[in-house]
Amino acid sequence: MKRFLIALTVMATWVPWGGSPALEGQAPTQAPDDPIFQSLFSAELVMQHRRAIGLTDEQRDAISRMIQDLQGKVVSIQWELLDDMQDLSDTLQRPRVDLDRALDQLDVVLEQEKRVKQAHLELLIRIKNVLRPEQIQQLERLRREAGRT
Amino acid sequence: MTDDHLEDALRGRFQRLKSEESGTAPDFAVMYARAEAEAGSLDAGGSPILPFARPRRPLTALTLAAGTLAAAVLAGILLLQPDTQDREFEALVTAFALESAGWRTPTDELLRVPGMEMLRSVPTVGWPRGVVPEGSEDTGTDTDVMG
Repeated sequence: MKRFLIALTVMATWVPWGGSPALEGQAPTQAPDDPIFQSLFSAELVMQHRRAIGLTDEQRDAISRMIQDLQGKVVSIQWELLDDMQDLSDTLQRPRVDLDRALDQLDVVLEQEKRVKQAHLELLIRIKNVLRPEQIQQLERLRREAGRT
Repeated sequence: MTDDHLEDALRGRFQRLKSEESGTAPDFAVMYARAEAEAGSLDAGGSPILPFARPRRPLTALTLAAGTLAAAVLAGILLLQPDTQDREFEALVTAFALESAGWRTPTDELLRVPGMEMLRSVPTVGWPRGVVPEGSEDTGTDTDVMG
């Protein structure tokens, strides 16, 4: 029962229920104040402006495949991460915490997080590389205009 | 029985069979004449009437309309395919955006290092509250010691 409650708590911080506080109240077309996202385009942004930029069927299908690939990768990582966080949580709950063990387990968790971030960044880069230069310029302009409204 | 006698018997039987069947069979000459007549005749459109040919029915307006409608439906189905794929793309991206908007790593809180907030809000010394000297950054904090 205790393990179940801990797992539920961990899942609540990881499983995508509700929205991220960082994006609450933010228009989806605005790039977060982030050096990564300012230079790249989310799939959602591309989808919203697909007619304006003249997204071709081939580009659309390529982006769909990329998203599906990412989702497949991330789902499996999430389950592994859940197990790894459970191990770390068990270690931290002891009255006397084994520091080396906790740091090793943290390394494992961070490695999983790194895999998710890498996969996500790979998606964003691939999306940008699928677009033509004029489409990129158009998206940047549209994003700036949306940011002003 | 000698061979001659047998031959005579066979000849007689053949003749009897021939006369029996000739009563029911149509006359060959009549049949030939009729076939010749059909092969030589032409229909209203000038096409020869062939033996055993079925009479042709003219295309009616209804048939033409049905054919046009079928072609239009098929064209519509083919043209609508991209819209269906477009809707599927939209659904996929929307679901992914909702999913990824909630992604937070369990270790994010470890990035909130105690003391870093204080370093980001350096108190301003020497200026009245609300007055920001030209060229300096307004931190927007309440750490102005001039009060």
